[in-house]
Amino acid sequence: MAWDANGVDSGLLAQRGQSGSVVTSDEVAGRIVNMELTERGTLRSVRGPLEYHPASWGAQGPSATAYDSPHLGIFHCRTEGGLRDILLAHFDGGIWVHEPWASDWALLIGDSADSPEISSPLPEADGRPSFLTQFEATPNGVIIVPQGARAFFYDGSYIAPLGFDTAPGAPTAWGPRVRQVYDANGLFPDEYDIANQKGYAHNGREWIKEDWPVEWETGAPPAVGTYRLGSIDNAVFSNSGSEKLNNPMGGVLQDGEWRAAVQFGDCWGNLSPIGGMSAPVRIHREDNLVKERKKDSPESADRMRMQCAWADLPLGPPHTLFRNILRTKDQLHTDQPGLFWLPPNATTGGSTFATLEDNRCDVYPDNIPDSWLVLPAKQVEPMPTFRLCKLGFGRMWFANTVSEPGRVCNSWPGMWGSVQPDTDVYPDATGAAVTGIHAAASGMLFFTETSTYLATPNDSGVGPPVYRTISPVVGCVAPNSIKTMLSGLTVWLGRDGFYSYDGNKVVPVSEDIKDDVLKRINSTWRLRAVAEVEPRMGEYRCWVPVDGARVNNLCLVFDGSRWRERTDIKAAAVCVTRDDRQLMLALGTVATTGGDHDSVWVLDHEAKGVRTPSARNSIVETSWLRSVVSRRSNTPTQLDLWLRESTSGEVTVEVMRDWRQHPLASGAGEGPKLYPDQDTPPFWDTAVYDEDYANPMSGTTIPRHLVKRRPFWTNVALYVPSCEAFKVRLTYAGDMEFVGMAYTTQDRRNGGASLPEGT
Amino acid sequence: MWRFPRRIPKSGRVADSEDLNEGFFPLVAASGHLGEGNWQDDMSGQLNSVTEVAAGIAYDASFVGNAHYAGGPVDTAIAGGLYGGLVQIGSGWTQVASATRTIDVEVGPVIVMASFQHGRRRPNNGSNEPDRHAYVHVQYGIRLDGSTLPISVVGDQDSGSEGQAMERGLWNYRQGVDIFQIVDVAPGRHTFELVCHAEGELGDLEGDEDDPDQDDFVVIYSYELLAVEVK
Repeated sequence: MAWDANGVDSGLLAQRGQSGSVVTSDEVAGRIVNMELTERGTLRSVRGPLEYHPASWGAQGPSATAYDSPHLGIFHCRTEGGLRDILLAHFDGGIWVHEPWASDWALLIGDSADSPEISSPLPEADGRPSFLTQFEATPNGVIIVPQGARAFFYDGSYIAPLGFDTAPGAPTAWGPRVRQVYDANGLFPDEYDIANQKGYAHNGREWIKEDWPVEWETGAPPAVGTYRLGSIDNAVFSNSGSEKLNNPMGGVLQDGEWRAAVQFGDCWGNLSPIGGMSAPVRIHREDNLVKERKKDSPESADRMRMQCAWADLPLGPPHTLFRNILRTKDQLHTDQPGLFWLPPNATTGGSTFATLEDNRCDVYPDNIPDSWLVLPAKQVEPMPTFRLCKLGFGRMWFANTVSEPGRVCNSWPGMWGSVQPDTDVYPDATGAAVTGIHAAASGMLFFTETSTYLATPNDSGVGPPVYRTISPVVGCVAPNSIKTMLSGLTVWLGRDGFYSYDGNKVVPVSEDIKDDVLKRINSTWRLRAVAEVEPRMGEYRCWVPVDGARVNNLCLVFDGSRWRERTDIKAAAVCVTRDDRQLMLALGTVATTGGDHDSVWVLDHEAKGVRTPSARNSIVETSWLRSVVSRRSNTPTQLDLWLRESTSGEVTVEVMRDWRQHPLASGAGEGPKLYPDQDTPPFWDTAVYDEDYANPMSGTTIPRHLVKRRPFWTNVALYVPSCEAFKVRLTYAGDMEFVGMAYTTQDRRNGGASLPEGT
Repeated sequence: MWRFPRRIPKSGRVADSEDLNEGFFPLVAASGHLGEGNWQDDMSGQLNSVTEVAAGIAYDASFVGNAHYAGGPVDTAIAGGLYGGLVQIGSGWTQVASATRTIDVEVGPVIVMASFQHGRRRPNNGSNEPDRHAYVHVQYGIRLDGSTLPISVVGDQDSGSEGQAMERGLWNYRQGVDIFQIVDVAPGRHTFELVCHAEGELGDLEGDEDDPDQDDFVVIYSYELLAVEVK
């Protein structure tokens, strides 16, 4: 045929990504929708999704969880060395944990009327644009950050506010006072003041002294021995009195002052800020050297040491597991100012972890000498209400606090809910709000909407991290869009497109879809764009709201160099399970045969679930293909398709010409088959496997058996006369696998004459 | 596990060993008995029939023959409507509809997989009594050549309070159920069946035989049963 003789064949076009640019390679498609890259390098129709845990049967079932909006987050992790699987999701006004053993979800945080584990308002349900609820896994639990509310910590069995946001009150000091002797008319002329005899006054002097009734008020039983508080100066001479009595073990109990404070702790070891300081316990000067004390025999100065007590100890919030009392040393005699941890016992027990292993008692007698105070108090700042957090450098990083959106601070190492003091930084010099944190390969990335910063560990091994600006103009608009691909490339959504960071610099990666996709993103709600990296092929998938939508209704897939689209789900939130299954779970809405349905979905998996996703078109659409002989109109005559056998259906082929999007011809119902006609593969539902099968190619007869699907060529006759450019769209609502295509064009011929040419 | 296969056999799809393998691989890894060496691209699965029961099983007289009542559409919201039947209390192990596969085994072992939807329907008596349900416990299993394989049985026979029943039995209103079994069998012809078994207090399945709408019954629908020899 003449066409064949004069035809010019294109090379093989194996489009794997799309571009909206006018000028692009034929190797780049115009649009690829609902097709995923396979391990074999082909494109195959997206499958699923499949409902993870179907909601109950509506009105016919018992009351059960319904995945009502707003959908604000989903997260999976494992704790206890992998024994505890935690799946959390934020929907229907609460944060839920999946309990597969009960075949339901349990409400962790929500309105008190719904009997949650912990009752707390979740302000983001007000409908205003805000980030998604943030989740961050730690080795022993999950930090849950509802936007605008206190953060929580959940370890798989217990949930409580993260750390402490307030400091305890000050305890009351109980200590000795000076005994002043009065009668009704004033001071007894024959009496005198006695130090440390009134108030909470206990020392180790004689228990009963009948002729000196004052002293039995303060003395200790002989079994107790001496007390321990007080600074004794033994470097004084014993004083001989008129009766020649002396006291070689005597000394002077010096004036001293002690103060205390309280610090709360929770069951994960987080500490509260140190509370207010008490009034001082004061011990007054006293000595046992003088004759007037009428000692019959030498008395050790140690007997003058005292004890004190701390009362009105503040009780912590309900998640307080223990309280520490922190005490100064004798402030008038020590050169070590500050607070020290007060051990609970005279000897350290193996189970000792706090001064008060309760949240109940309110008085604590203190008989601990200064010399036992060796552990300085740990300073902790109040836990702020923050919007973002991320684990890095062994610490938890908090950013975008309600009062200071530009602030970043971090926890003590391993104490995810205890903010280390003096770690505040403001990465952006203008104080702009932090819009993202991410632990990248080379350090922690901090973003504002218009700038990017990198924090790396201090080379000295101590001190704060070193911050440097990576980009002063490119930032991130959606914290949940920041993900690191398997190649190590970190990708995120910026104001005008997607950017990547490879450890060296920030580069734009979405130029190809700038015109036809990125312009459509809803700038108000893009802050809830959400991304995950698909673990099998390593694709970066980001769901964004386009065309004025308030929910993420389009998925953009980036394989490291090219982009594709998916429309299988409106995913409000997405996660990948951190277990062997590595399922990508999405919380969102899927069009099913029974209507739009909200649920948690397993992407890229299918089964006969309760609800079946509606038929969905898979599309491979070329870019505008032009004549292989440049700048001349020509006539495409044939399209060769390289497919892999998949279904007993036919692909729909549509052809557009000359930059018009209206199909010139639609091949619905007449398109090429999705399997080789000459050698039909066995189809499910019709093939009977123990029947004999005559192979038309070999002529042999063998029993039917399962086979690996084969690639094959097929072709479509085109006729687009004298066109400047044309485009082909392949569509199939089902399972299609695309390998590549080629086309043949007929060049315009002039019969060999050399003539001036027009257009 | 097969609970979330990547692709399932579907009417009109090429019967692809690769897709099947992909669904089975997690099982293989978990079982520890079979490795990649057992799985080949052109795995020979000799199935006497792989005809899929499309759009949920149609009502099947042989199944419901053991029961009081042939069910009607269970949920009209599902495309095509699903049909099921009543499981009779105390009826012993009963074959689910025509869920049987016969396979000629050369060497073995055989992987048997059943997946289906288990559901309940409460009486439509107009009274809107949400708690009016029978205390029935249902078990499912695989029967090999007439003997139910104990290890394949899912569900719970523990009778007790309603709360226990709700939590422990296959009781909830709609559940996907998967049964997997790798069975070593002797060479020869073997028949696998999906069977069910219901226990409860007499009269727990309330209702009136003459008025189907008053019945409270267990339904099974959308089942698939597959037996593949691994060679």
